[in-house]
Amino acid sequence: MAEGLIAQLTSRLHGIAKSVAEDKHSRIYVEVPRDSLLEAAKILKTEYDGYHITTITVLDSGENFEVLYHIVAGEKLVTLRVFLPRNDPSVESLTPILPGAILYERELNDIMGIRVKNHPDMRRILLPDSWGDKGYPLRKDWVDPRTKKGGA
Amino acid sequence: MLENVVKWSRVKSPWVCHFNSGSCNGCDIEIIAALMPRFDAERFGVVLKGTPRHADVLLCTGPVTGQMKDRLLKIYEQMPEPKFVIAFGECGCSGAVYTGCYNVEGGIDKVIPVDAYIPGCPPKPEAILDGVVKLLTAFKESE
Amino acid sequence: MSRVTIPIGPQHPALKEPERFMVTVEGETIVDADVRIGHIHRGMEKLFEQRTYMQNIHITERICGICSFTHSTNFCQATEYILGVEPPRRGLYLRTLMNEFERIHSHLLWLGVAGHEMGFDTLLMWSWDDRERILDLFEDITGNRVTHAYNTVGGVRRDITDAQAQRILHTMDILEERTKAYIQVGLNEQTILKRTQGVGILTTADAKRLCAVGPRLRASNVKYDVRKNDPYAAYGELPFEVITSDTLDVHGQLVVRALELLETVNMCRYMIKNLPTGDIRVKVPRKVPPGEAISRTEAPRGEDIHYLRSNGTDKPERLKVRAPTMANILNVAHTLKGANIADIPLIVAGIDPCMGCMDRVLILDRDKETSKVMTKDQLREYSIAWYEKEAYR
Repeated sequence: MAEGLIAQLTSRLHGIAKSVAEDKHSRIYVEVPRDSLLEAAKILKTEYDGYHITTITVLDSGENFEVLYHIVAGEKLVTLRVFLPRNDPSVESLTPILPGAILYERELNDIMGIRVKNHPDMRRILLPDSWGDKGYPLRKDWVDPRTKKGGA
Repeated sequence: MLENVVKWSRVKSPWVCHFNSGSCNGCDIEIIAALMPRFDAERFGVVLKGTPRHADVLLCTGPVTGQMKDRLLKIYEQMPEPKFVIAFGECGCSGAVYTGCYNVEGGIDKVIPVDAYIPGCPPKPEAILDGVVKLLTAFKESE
Repeated sequence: MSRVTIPIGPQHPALKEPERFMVTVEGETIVDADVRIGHIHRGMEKLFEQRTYMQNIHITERICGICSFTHSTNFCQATEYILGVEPPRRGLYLRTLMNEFERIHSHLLWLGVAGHEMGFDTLLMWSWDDRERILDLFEDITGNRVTHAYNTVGGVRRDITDAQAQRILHTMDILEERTKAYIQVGLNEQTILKRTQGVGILTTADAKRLCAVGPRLRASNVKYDVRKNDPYAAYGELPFEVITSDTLDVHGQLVVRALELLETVNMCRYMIKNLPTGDIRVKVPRKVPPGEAISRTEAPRGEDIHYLRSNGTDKPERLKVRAPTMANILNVAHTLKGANIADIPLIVAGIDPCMGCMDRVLILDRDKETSKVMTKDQLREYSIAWYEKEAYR
């Protein structure tokens, strides 16, 4: 099974995923286009026991944002990777499929300004209510209004 | 006469309200550890109270986060006079490693006046006992 | 019946850490619960990007003051994955040993807090007194009780001596005996049974659906433990069982944690007896080549995950941390619905949210620049003398 999962995923996600790869520490990375994210998550959940979403990571890589959905499928950790263009950082909500994603998707919006569509409960989660429109602090080009500097 | 009684009871048994204003928990656990059988700060009359309205001393841990800043002010205003504030732990004293973080004010004394500092990351229960004894001594001499 | 919404927290006697619950009740019964977190959001993920890897080891320790060692293990592991270095086996064993010590201290801490929340303060005093024993070991080996600065990329920083190994074995004997006593108390004491059985039920299906982790998940009868399912450090070589409970309630969590304590004590013994010889660390370069890695560990509270992306410099591009409480807070809000108001502290404390023999106290007198070591008895005399010199007596 352990060796088999990568082969199974490669054939099952053919045409849906852009690439399927495994690293030295048996973490599987699946790159999917934004439109097929829900489909890929559904397949993982129904066919590979991937009900547990561990967390969602978001990275700012300059021209686009990279969102990583870490899902435990069977014995392995499968990461769905989605690239979002910087001028339109929006993505479909995964919460209807994986209810555990609800808090992590609120976090995406809070710290990086990713708009999550069809999310049932989009409120602030980490930043204070008094934050206002001071921006999204984890973006690389964010400037702290207190110090007029980027950074911590 | 009444003043003497009040002062006597305050020195004998300072009531402490503990408030976490954004600490990592290390300090909070050490505060409770100081009240447990091994160190037992209660032998100096220290009682941990749940509400600031009953407390003489506010024991604050952690750098003040944006979310907790207003809350800290509210709690400080609720305490009856005379009130004392102890900044507990390195973050409470100065902000420590979190200095300059976007959601951190940096040190309790940026928000409310502080009477005593107990440094350490986290301070050991021995340091807490030492701080308590020093504070009680200061109480007594404050006339 | 009319509905009332009660705010609980962020400053509340039953909660040691700030979090706010908005609880809607009908009479005594909770019909809806909402949780607001983020009161301790300090912006650490931004801070990681500005600090070097060496500095970050110490910052990750300060993510949480209780599971500090797990977080630094996770960060070091992720960096090692990218660098492609493998710490020596002795280093891995020592790292695992410290992780298990942390589990003992955290579970004993939880036991005490749970006892406190159910109105059984004797248990609090007992288990916290026993917890001091493991903190003594921490202090003996690493030099500090809470933040240890013991981990480093490529291994650990200090070796243990034979005498320390003997002391560890001795403490494990005491802890085993005490843990067995706690299990007896937990299974038979009416205060505990009446207060925890049937409280905070989370069904297996709900636990899976809401992505619960750690003892909360295992108390819902799901056999999942990162140490077993995705072994890291030396866990692949250690004999241990994953404990589950089918009672689904707070009592099940108590049983899971207590039995895990016994497993952990046995694991520590095994590690000391089979400690490999050799180096404890390897030297690693200061700059980390571009890459990404995911590291998972089983913290005392559940699965803890770090995602690290490096960019070729001596500072990380991004470090994402997901602590176990974040995953569990969702099922707390779910479990609270239908419960009694009086059970709120117990259910919240149930997931363990991120809140003796040596007989001494060190007194440092800065005015006189002297230090002396006091025994427990001397401390008692000191406190009596303190009262006697009071003018108001």
